[in-house]
Amino acid sequence: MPIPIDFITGALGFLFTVLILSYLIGDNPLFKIAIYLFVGVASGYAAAIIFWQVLYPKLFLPTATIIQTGNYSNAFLLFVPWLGLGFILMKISPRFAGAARITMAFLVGAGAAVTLVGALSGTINPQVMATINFFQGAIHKPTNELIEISFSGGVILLGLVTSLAYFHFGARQKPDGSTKRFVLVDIFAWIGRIFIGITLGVIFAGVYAAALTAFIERVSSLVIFIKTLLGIP
Amino acid sequence: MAEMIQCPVCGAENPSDQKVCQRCQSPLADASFQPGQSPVHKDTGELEAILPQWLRDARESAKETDESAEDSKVEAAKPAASGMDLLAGLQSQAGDEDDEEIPDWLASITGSAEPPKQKTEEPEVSGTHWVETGKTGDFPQSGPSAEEGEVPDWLAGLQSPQPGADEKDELTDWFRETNNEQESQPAPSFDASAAPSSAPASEETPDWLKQMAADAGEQPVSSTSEETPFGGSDWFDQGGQQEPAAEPFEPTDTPDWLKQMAADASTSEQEPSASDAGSFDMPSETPDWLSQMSARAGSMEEEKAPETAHPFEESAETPDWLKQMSADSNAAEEEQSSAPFDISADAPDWFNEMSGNTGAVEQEQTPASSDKSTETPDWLSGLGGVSSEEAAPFEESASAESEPFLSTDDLPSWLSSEPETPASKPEASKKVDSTPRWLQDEGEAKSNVPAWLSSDEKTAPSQDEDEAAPQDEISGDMPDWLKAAAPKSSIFDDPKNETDTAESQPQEDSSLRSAPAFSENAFSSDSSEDLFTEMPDWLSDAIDKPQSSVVPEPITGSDALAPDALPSWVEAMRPAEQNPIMAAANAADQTMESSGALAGLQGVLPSGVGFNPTSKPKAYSLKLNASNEQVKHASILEQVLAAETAPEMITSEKSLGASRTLRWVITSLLLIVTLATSFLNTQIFSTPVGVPRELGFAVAVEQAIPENAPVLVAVDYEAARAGEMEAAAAPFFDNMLLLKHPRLTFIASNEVGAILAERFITKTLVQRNYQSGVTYLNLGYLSGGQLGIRSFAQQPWNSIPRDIANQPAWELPPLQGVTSLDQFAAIILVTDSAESARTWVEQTQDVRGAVPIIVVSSAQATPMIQPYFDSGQVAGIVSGLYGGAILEKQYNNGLPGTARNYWDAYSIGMLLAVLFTFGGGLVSLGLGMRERSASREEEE
Amino acid sequence: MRILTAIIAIAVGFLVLLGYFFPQAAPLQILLLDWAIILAGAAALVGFFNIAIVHLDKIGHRDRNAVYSAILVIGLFATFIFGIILKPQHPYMQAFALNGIIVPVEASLMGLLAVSLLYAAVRLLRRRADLMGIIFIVTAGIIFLGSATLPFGDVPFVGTLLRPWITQVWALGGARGILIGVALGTLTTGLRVLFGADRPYGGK
Repeated sequence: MPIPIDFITGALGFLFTVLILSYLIGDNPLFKIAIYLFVGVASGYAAAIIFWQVLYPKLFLPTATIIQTGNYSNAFLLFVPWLGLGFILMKISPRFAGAARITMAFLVGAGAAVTLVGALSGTINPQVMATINFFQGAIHKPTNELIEISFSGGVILLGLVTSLAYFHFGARQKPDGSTKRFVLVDIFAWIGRIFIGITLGVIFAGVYAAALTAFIERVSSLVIFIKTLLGIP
Repeated sequence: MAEMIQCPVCGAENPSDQKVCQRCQSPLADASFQPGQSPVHKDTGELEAILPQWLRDARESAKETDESAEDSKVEAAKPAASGMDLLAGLQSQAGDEDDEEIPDWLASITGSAEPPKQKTEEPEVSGTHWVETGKTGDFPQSGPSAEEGEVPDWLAGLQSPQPGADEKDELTDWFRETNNEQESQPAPSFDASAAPSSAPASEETPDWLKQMAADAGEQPVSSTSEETPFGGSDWFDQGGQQEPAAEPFEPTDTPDWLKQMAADASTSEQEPSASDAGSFDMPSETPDWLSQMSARAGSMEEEKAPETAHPFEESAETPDWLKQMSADSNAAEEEQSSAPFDISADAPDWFNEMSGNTGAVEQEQTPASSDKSTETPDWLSGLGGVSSEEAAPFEESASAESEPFLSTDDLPSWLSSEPETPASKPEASKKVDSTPRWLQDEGEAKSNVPAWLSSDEKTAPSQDEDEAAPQDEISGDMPDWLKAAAPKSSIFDDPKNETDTAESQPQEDSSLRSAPAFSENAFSSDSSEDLFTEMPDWLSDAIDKPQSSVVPEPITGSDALAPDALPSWVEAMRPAEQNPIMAAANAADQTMESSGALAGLQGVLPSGVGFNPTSKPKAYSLKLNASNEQVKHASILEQVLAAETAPEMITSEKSLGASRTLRWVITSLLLIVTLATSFLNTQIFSTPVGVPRELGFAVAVEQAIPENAPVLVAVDYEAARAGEMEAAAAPFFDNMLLLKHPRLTFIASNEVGAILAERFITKTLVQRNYQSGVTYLNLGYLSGGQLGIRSFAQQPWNSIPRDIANQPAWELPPLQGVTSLDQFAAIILVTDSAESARTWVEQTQDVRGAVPIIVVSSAQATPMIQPYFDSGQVAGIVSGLYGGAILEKQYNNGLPGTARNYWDAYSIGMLLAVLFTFGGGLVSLGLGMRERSASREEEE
Repeated sequence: MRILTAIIAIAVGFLVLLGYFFPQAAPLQILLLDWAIILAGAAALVGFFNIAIVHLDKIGHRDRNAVYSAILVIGLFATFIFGIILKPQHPYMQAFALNGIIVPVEASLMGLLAVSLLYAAVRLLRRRADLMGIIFIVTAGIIFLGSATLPFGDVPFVGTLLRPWITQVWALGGARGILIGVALGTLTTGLRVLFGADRPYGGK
């Protein structure tokens, strides 16, 4: 009778969950074995995915098609990727690792342009406009809503300004050599600490919620596997 | 059994009470020149008659060779190439078994062709030693080309052939270079032909050497060597006219002159035979300069030494070796119990030994000095282990240049007349008993001290044995070359007894020759401190030690070697080479050096014509010239660095057990709660009732999607949060699939995302029976991060032309009619990363048009995605398990799903978090305040 | 090489930028981005080789953790080979690699984080009892409480009012400030790269 694949999966999941949770007792070789094996499997899996889902459909297959069909009119479009691939594979060898800079320069240059435009058009402008427009629709609202919107908008605006001030580290040098921020910036930065603290507190709670969910999911998987073994519904 | 001692010359066994060897008449008693000792005056004029013939001839011929010596200087400018040098005999005396212990630099100096093995074994030891022990500025020397013009050949060989010889550490360098030369050329470093006065040296011995030889006594020393090592040392070749001056010497025998030095002049009467002398043809007459030295020895206080050609210009620039000599000379005046130097431990051994011998004039050998043998370098130990057959006694008078090897303990046996016990013979012959006989004999019988060594009896401190040890310590830290030079200070006169400082001398050569090479009162005691103002500390300390009575006068007029000049003490011993101009200059300044290394020398360091200092060296301030602004900036930088490097106090866990307990408590509670709720499938806690605004908008948008519309699902979460993301997304997708039957197209912007999407659709949504390629499509992994997303946003079909199964994706039903991003009905982003959400929002901002983005996010990413929802860039957010639970209850007809199964444990876990955060936080706050107040009290 | 790489980076950057502003340059931008996708995948593949080389080297030198490295290498090559043969989406690959190892291990590690975070929250005020620390803990506690429910429903006031108000107003202000700050930093960095002031690709 063949062993069901789900059972094997469940057994593996149970085993590795226990190995990892054994870290709660303390660092131990079982935990290390699980971690090292995980890193190896994850890396190999990612490499296989890259091969099949990136390089094969976008480089190997088109190249093979060109060779098979003999249509070399668009072959130059693949020349640069092959060249870049060759350069970046040279990074494996310390002797020729410098050639990989060419490929990295290509990626960095393109990435800088994309990031720059994205940050400007996707975050800075929309977020600034959203802060301003928060008050836009409040004018025609009833008083209680006007107060609520104005207060909320004011808090958000204050939080935005003071948080930016908190990350502003420019300072003037005093005659005695010490440095001190501008008074207004200093006050804003102090207020910004409150907003940053609140935001980080919320993020902390969110991280804990995510981790707790993962913990529950793993323990539940253990329970389910045991139940399956025991035949408990 | 009577104690037997071994003759250091012939090796014969002699009773311990014997003063001289019964076989060879060499002195057996320890008469070495000990550290701290000063030579005593002895009238050795009567010994003139017993000078060996070759010395007499040398003295005679020296008178006639002044002019020819000048001519030879031109040729001597070349680097030394042959093996003729002062130390050639040293190498020759090294026993075979000790050859390998001779460092290369010494081998190079000695000119012997060392086996390659010897060169490689200790090639850098000595050189490194000198670098370590000497300061770089301690060795001012002139350039080789200019200097060698007047350098005797033995010195020419020592000098660096490289142009960098005028650097501060050139002394070290030229020793090193000497070593290099040794490696590069088999010929010794000291080429007789290269020496300025050596080319015609086969004709004559320089007068100054003759003079020294005369002072050393005229007693011939027996030579047991089979051949003479000096084949070309021109200044030894007075009697050795059988051999060409430049002929490579054979390093097997001691030169006769050195043997003569080593042997007690008063005891040995053996005439060296021509066969023994090898290349030397023993003259029958004592050289003139030796005679002069001898004569001078008899009337040391009255004689005036001829002026040297190259005086020092300023005491501050006195080379260290000279300072050391001066210091040793001063030390000889002092009580030896007070060690002038405390750096003996750092000194090279051979220098210690030699310094020890310096003090031996006034101290008998002490156990301390013999202990030094343990630190004797091998190369020198090897020198001491010479068998009597190998030992070639010196048959020529020792020159001043031979004085560097005055060490008692480490000098080879051919240099030592120290009696050895048979038991100690093997060791002592190698390492201990290496004092030259011509030094050791001094201690034994003052009458045997050569006149040039015994400058003045009155000034010589008593030779007390107890005083030897401090001197050993003194010399301990001296560099090797300095140790070699150190004994000279003991040889010279006591500065206390200097009388005249400047007396005229006859300008004729004859008168110069008649003047002794060494005389007292050369220094004015008052100026000695100026002379050594810039000495190293260890040397200054020596000077700072309480002097006996008279502070030596500094050398006036000159304090530094001219770049092209020899050390004046060398020139002082070369009266015959003085030209008329210098003679005239010397006549004007016949100062008797009273202190320092040149004590006893007359006119050695005069301010002669052409050698007066033109200007005093500029005094350069060590103070940093910095403006106030620079100082201010520097202080700011210093503060910054100090703040960065200031150690931050890390309070250690005082209660590690308590923290572990806390960890265990948390773990146990979470485990118990989760296990219990999971195992029991409890549904005690209510799912959230209130619908957050962003969740409501998400549901509204989802429900506004047209039927069977293409929907893009971007998956970008890690496997770690698969449980949370699936729990949050499942009810949302379930509701959507159930209501709208959209054609889903999955795309992942992380590697595992594509497979996680496959897992999600095939496991979590298995009930919806969505089929790959029909109702849903998995495009797979989109690499490149922002670049890939931007590319996909601009031209989706170009970025990912095929699906995860490598089928042409854009021809399949799920993507029919879709060629651009804005043709999707909605974009659902399932992510656990705010960064990923930001990227998708940013890069699709200008191309997605009115297509809404709904984000199913992890709880950890929601706070940072919230601003995009507030700005309208994101249509709605489903946040983690909380949102999934709401969706299940509110929008999924209350069907229990994953969120519901997890909710009890989640809710209890949150309550536990509240409990620990507030309760534990308050406790921690109280503990922390108490600790801080306690630490504050401790600080106060 | 430095000049060449700088020229490549700047030129590619400006060509991509042109595609945003001029529709005529959009095809060139798409082409460059398409190449970038391939090269980014290749770079990730180099990372795979790098891991393999590093751990093979450790095995060769018989380091202390050579055994673990051997396990890693075995898992790496086995998964890669099977992934190449079967393809990653194959049910067996999903079952063994993804669902059997990757998801359990990562999720378990994430679960361990829950314990550590709670422990840190407890200990925080002992180390840092300043304004920001107190605000941080209080906010986190409120969100914890607001995220939980009681058997009868949400926690009154906290779950229904306070939590949404904090997350949608107070935290929003700070989060927006952080986002804009990050965007400004990104903008500056991108400009510096495009002008050649920063060369993270090597060759400063």
